[in-house]
This record gives sequence, structure tokens and C-alpha cells, in this order.
Amino acid sequence: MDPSGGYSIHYCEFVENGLGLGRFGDGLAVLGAGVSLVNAGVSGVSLHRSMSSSASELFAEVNAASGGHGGFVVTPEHPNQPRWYDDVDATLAMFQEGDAFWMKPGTVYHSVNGYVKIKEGKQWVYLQTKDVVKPDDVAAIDSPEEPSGIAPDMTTPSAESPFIEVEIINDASQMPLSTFMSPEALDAEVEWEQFGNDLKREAVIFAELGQMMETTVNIYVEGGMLLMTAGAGGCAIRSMRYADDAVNFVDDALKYADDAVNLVDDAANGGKTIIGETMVRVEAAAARNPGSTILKMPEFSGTRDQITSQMMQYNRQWLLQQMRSGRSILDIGLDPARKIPSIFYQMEQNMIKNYLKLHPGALNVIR
Amino acid sequence: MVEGKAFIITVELYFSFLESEFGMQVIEEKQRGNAFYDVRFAAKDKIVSVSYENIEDYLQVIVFLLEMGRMPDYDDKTNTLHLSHLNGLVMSKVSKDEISSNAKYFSKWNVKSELERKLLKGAKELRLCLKHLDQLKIA
Repeated sequence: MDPSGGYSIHYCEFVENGLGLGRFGDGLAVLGAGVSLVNAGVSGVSLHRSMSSSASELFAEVNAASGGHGGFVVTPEHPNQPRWYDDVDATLAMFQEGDAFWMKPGTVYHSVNGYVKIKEGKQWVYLQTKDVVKPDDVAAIDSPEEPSGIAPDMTTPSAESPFIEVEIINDASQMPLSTFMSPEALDAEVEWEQFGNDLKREAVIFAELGQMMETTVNIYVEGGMLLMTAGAGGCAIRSMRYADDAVNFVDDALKYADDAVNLVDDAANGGKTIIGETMVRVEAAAARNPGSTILKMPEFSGTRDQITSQMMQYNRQWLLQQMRSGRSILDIGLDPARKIPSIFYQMEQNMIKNYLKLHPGALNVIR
Repeated sequence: MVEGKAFIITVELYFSFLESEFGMQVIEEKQRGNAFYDVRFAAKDKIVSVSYENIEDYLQVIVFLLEMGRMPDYDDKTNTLHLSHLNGLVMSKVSKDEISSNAKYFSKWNVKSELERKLLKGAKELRLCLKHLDQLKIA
């Protein structure tokens, strides 16, 4: 990548400000041309080419595509606006896809408050940063259009993205983590150590598109990915690499919170959790087992790949809750009539296997 | 990807012969988000389920023979009859004229997608199978 051309002078002014706070460093570079993202009121700007040319290898696959989608931009508050989100449309108008900073690996960008907007067929997430750059700076993340070569399914680990799906629990309801979901209980595919400092953030999310969401979202780079953590209702935190996933996650997190409540009800009834291949079959088994619980997938939106990814994540989160609930799991196994194995059931089996590796004897699985 | 509503409408159209010829009624239109859809037709002694797993593109047409009015176990091969299995049993008993006549019955619909093609094929096969169901020995 050659980031040496076409910098926005405003970008560089901002980078300079960032450096002044000692938060941005060698890992930052600027992409794109003709950027005038920040504002027109900045004066005395200077170009820090030496710093900008030291580009990180992060997100190379994202930016290798023509659009540079999935970029991450931090903007300062508009000088003529009291609050950044009052000017979100004007900011958006200046912000074009392909304009991006490289984030410094390992740097955690805390944010509070966010704004989700749909424009030009994409979802944009603006996050007000907190205690990183300066209080009123804004992180803006455009939603991707899934450039070729990027696997949208975040549940599939790869060499480039070893930390694909991170689902850890947040403690918005002030419950001790151990009473609900502790990170060590999650399956072994996740490298929890990498995120050990992010487990106890409080978060409450109330968000719909076009509305403010009250949350704590932390953004950082690890393992070659842009990672975001967020939480809702004392339920879930996960990482993700794209803004539209962040938006979907807000919805998901609320669904998980509902599920958590339902889980308590189900546990009180003492029913089994039923899993198995082929939904008709699982539903039939549930009908024969009063009080049992089965996965009831909500509606998801997006492209086919995005929906698949969301369903996999939801399925995963649901089963994790079931395993931690202490309820017996009735595994009705493979469907002998099925010629092509179900990827969802395969994932469920892997999760159970890994959970039992971590917690031998912790599950009562009836097969 | 097909939306649940579209799936249900198509199933109820292509399988409308279940109501007009076999006295069955739609008893359930199930949508589990956009993951899974299931339309069920019932008569006194059987239930026909047409279900679809959207992501995995897995379409199933199943005839459940009720046991004392109750659903059989899914894995009970004598009472849970998958169309693919039924079709194999029936085809040897069906004449060319019957096949031709059956195809003509369904010729009024033009499919617009691969799923519709599969649904129409399933409907055609099921219609023939149900006409011969009583003659079958299912092991």
C-alpha cells in the first residue's frame, strides 16, 4: 500500500492533534484522496508525511479493494456545532468511502454514544469517542459492501483473522460475571486472553436506526481485525469488523437480552434443551417433550452472507446460554434422511465438544 | 433467500390440490425468522409438511401418518414418509398416462426460481404418491 498521495490536509491536522495527545502513533496512516472530512475551520495545518507513510499492515484486505470499505475515521467536533451529532449529515456529506486511518494495533478507542444512519444504501455508525483523543471527537465507520476476497462470515476463522467471533459477557445489570457468563466458559475457538481487559465494561444499548444509542463501544485492533465490543442488557459483547455488523449487533444484543430472560423462565420449568439436525425434526422432538426449549431464530436482514453470519452468531450465543444454564441437552443427532449435513448442527456439535473440553462433566448431554 | 410470506403463498398455491382433492386443510404456517418455514396441511389421518431451511436450501415434503390422531416420531420410517422415499415406491405403479395427466394439471404454473421449480416438482410427485398411498407397503 502506498499512502503517500492525496492526503487531506485536514486529516493530517487531526493526526497531529492526535499525536499531541500521545495516542496515535506509528501505526497510523491515511488513505484516500481529496478528503475534507474534518472541517473547514482548521488553520495552521501541517503535513506529517513521515508519520503517515508508516502504514500498518492491518486491514490490507479491506483496503485492497477499490472502495476501501470498512475504513475507520476519527473526526473532531465541528467547531461551529455544539454537539457533533447535530452536524452528522454535513459531516457525512464530506466523508467518502475509502477515507480511512489505520488504527494503531492494540490501541483501545473508547466511545460513548453513537449514531446510526442509512445513507447511499449503506449503514454508517458514528461513535463519540471518550478519553482517547479528546472528548468530543467522533469515530465514523462506514458499512462495507463486502469487497471481494473478504469473508463476510465472521464465524469462520482464518489465518488473517484468527479472532473471528468473540462473544463475551457484559455486566450492565451489575451481576457478577460468574453468575451469568464468564469468558472462560466460552468455546475454545476464541482467544479470550486477548480481550481480558474488556470483560467488565458496562453497557446499555437502546438503539434504532436514526436514533442515538446509549452504549459503551470500544474499538481496537487485534489480530489484524478492527474489533468492537458492545453490550446490552447484561447480556453480550462481541467483536466485529464492520459497521453494519455493529448495527445488527445492537439488535442482536437486545434479542439476547430477551433470550436471557426466557432462559431463566425455561430453567425454572426444568425442561430440556433440544438440538439436532433438521429443524422439522427438532420441532417434532420438542412437541414430544413438554417444557423443552429449541432455537427460535429471529428475522435477520442483509445479504445472504450477512444473514448467514448473523444466524450462526445467534445460534452460537443461544447454545452457549443453554449450556451455561445447567439444563440437560437432548441431542437428537443427525438426520438420516438428509444428504447434505447442516452447518448449524455441525457448529453446535463443535461447541458442545469444546465446552466439555473446558468443563469436563459440566454438561448433561443426552444422546 | 426467499421470504417466508412468499414461500407460504407459493406452497399453498402449488399444493392446493391437497385441499381440493384430498380434503386437507392448512393448519399451520410457521416462520422461524427467515431461517425456517413450514406449511402444514392436515386431514383426519395424516399431515403433510412442506418445509424449507432457507440458508441451507433444504426443502422437505413429508407425509406424517397419524397414530391415534397423534404425530409420529420423525425417525419412525413407517409413519413419517419422506417424499423422496414415497416417490421411489410409487413410480413403479404409475402409468405413463397418469404421469402425463398429472403434469398437465400443474402446467398452469410457470416457475420463476429454483425453489419454485423444486416446490412444483414436489407438488407433482406428492399428488401422484397420495393417489397411490393406500396401495403401498411401507417398511
